[in-house]
Amino acid sequence: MTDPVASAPTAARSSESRGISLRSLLRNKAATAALVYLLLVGLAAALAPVLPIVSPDKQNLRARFVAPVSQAPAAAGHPLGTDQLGRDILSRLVNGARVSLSVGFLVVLIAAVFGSALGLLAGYLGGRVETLIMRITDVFLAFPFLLLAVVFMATLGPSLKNVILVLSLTGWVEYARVVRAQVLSLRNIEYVKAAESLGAQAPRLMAKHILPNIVGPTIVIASLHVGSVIIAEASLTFLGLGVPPSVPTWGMMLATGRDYLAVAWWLSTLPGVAIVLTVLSLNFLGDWLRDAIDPTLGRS
Amino acid sequence: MKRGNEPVNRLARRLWLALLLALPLQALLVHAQQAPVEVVIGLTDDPPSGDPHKSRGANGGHLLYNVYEGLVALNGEMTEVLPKLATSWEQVDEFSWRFHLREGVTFHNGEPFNAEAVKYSIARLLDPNAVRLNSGYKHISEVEIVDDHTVVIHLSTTDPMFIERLPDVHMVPPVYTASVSEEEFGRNPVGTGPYRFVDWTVGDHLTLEAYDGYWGTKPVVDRLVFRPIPEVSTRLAELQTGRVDFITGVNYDTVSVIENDPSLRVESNSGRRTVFVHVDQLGGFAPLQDARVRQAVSHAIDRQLLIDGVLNGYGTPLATFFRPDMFGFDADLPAQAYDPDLSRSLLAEAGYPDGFTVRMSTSPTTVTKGDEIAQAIASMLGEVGIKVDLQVVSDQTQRDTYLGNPDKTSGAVPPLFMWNWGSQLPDASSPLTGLLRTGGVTSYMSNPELDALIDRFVAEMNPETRRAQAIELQQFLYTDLPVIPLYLQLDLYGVNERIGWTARKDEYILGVDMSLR
Amino acid sequence: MLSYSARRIAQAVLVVFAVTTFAFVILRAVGDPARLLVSPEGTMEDLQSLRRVLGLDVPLWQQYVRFIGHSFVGDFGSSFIHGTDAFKLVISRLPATLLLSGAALLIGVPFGMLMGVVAAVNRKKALDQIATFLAVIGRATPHFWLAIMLIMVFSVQLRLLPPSGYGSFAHLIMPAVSLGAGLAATIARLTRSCMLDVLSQDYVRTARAKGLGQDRVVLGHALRNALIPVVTVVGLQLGYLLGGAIITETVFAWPGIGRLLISAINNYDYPIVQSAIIVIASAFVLINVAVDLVYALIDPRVRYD
Repeated sequence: MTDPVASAPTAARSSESRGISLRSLLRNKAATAALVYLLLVGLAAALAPVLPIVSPDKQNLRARFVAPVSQAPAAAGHPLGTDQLGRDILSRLVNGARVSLSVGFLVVLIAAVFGSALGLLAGYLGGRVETLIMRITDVFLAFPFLLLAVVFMATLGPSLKNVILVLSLTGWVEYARVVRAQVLSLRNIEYVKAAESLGAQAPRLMAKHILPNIVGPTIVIASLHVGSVIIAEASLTFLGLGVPPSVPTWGMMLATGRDYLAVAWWLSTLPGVAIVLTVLSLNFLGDWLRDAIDPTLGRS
Repeated sequence: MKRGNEPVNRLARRLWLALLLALPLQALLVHAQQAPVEVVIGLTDDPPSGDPHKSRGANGGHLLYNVYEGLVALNGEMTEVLPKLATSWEQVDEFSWRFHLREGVTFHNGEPFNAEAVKYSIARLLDPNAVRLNSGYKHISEVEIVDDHTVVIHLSTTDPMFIERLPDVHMVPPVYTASVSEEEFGRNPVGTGPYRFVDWTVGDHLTLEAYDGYWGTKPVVDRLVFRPIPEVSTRLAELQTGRVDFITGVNYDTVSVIENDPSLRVESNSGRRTVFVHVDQLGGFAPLQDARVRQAVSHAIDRQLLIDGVLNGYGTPLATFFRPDMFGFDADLPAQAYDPDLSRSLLAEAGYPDGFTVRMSTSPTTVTKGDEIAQAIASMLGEVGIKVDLQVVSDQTQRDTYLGNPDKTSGAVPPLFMWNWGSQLPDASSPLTGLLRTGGVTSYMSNPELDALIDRFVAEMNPETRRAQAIELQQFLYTDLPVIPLYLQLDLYGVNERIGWTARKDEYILGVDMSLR
Repeated sequence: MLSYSARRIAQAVLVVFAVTTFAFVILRAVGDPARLLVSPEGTMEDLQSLRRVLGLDVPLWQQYVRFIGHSFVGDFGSSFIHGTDAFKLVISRLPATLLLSGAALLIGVPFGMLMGVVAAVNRKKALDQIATFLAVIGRATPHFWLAIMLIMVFSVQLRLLPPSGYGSFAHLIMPAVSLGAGLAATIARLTRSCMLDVLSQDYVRTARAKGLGQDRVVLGHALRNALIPVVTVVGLQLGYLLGGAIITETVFAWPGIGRLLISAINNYDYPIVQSAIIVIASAFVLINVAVDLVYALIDPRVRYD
């Protein structure tokens, strides 16, 4: 194995000038499309209460399982069909976006900030702090997620707030472990050592040399995590421990629709597609963002 | 076969599978000798145990009722008591019954069935120091052995339904049962039934085989294999691919998939589970303590629409929780009427012209499609101004909340909750005492007059007097509505056309009921 | 290194102990198993006598002391529902779980790493986009949906594979694929990201400048350094595979620990839940001790003092 070559932190610069700007975004077609999709979904979600669509809870037990784009008279006003209680799928998707996206982003934000901070501390400070933090993550990981979730949801009761709490509580660990591993390998890189020996203070070191290096992996995890959170919410709902049924979410539509896959594919496929598109978009955006702020590629 | 031999079993199974791959060879073998008839049944879960005094539920029953027998049995429609291990019986006096036992019956391990076995089995059932399902039998005070094939069972109270209770009292072999641990017994059950236990890998499969020494008619099916397949779509796929001949817990809405397959059919029976909305009258929620409000709730629910719209038509609306097969069922009482205008005026009369908000809880599994039924009900109640705050919780949370709640005045339970009762007896005494009489484990009301009436009904030995009491009770249930009856839930089964079988009311799948087509 | 290993293993024992205690306490906060076992037509006295028989009528600390005492002699109690030795029941499900996790790893890790490397080397080209797309689909598709779809296509329509069950290679394929797909997706994304990080680092540039070819650079330096986060995540995912494959095991009626655990949780079957947690936690902690030690082997920059 070749020894890492010592170099100054600002040595390399990519010829391309990058950064978080509209211009660099527009240059990336995938990221642009992703942003447009996310904005559209976000806008629909935000405006759901005032959009000219029926209430997501309005049932019609006489018009159940109406297929999307069907010509049947019962399909009037239901462009994406109806579910097992005759509720409008389009309306539920739009209203579901509201809840699912808020849950997804909130959980990821809480988990990523909390987890990365702990991972950073553990990796940089080492010693007892590291041991303590890593053993705490061990306890959390060794404890089956579902059991923890079941226990918390059963004692706290089913509500949106508690779903966010439970998913954040179990979500931070991955960030902590990955960030710590990243810091461990960075800490011994010569330029960090050099900065350290020149008397740089710990907070400054972290901010200047280490933090930018862990942003990449963290964003990658976070962009995938949003999807996992939406799916985890589906699992909780499936176990009867998720959000109350009066709150439509993509996860709930997905979980309850699966029993009907043999007769009505659209019940769980449509929310599934919505989730996949959302996660895909977040990924493209995440990739672009990662490139834009990657320190080794330079900042403008 | 013992569990200790499991690796050997597994090896044997692997070898057998290897053999299976050599299909042409196997085909030759099959032709050489008559192939044993095997039926594979896909269940929702494993039976809990092979111990007949502990096991419970429909999944437990599939195992127990093939392996064990009681002194008597009920027919498939639960309308008639048939002789089983007792050939005849008579009432000696108000508190005792004499049974004449079948001769020449042996347990699967060769032990003879006799009066001693009856005494031992009942004593084991009543053991106060073990986990036993014996709530309905605590009034058995003594089993007296008259001779080797005659016993007299003495009771401490009168019980008009005593004989109907007995199919559940399974007979176990005294010598074997006493010689092994409870655990061992539960894993290696031995009874007198038409099938003997062969092997069991929890989570994978359970095999029974026809017992050569069975006293009755030998069943057509030689082997029964039960497989726990929890996911409803997977069970359906197994049935469609012909790897499973039989499935339970068919989703009402996917019935068309089975019906459209020429090699499959749907069997159904009205089942024994009555579904209702239970009302907490003790927790301090004022509106529902008024019978008019409970009537308003009842009349706001369109039961036929629930059945047609959520259950795909598989249900029967009810007037009270009395099932048609129950003693004293009042066929003249019509199902609760759907009349939202009446609901609104009843609410106004009771002082709630603008309705009120009420919490209601349900679980997706306690009642089939419990979450969807509850959402539909919530929407119907919303139409008359009763705003429902619906909580969907898991089955265990639901049970844990309502069963044996020590302080029923705490108001900790939501005032409305979806509940059901699947009484094994063709009699209303168990829901009456469990649901309504003060102190029952799921009773959320207290009405001394009703308690007295229930107590008389439960112990009344004169059928005519008892019938009159049943009518009186149903009238009370119909108008006072301590629970709001919904419907009788139908049980659905998917069956391969090669098997002749009709569904029983008691939910059990018995090898003796099967024929080949 | 040796004293480090010893210390890590001692800590691992403590973690398992902490997890077990935590489980013991919170399980009892959830609910009363006697209420699930009592017959609905029973009386409050029946309930009380059930509690006595199950040993739930004494104070919590006494139950805990009894539990710890019995654990030391290998007695984790009998299942409330099945009446059999809880620990033995859990262990009997271990082979199925290990088989499934192993197969999922065998599908997920090589495939994921390959996709990641291909994507990183072909950055911004079509192959990268395709790999990204597949990875996202893999990660964003719920297990149960993928599993049911596999059954519908390969069992019901094509009649190629058995829909569920355990016992032959054919039974293993669909569960392993549905579990491995998500894993492959996660690993592919992470490998790509780490590869890119490493590829842009100076010593790799230097190596390139020294005239080492593209392939040697990629394999010799980049992949090796990209392994750290990948190994971390594999370690984490393994814990998830062992204890959390609940949905896959449920859909395919696979007789593993996950399904046993969820049904035990549903029935408040404490002895089984406790035994399963001890088994899963031990396996998980040991794997992660191994992962930490593997770091030292694959990355000489990580040193343990």
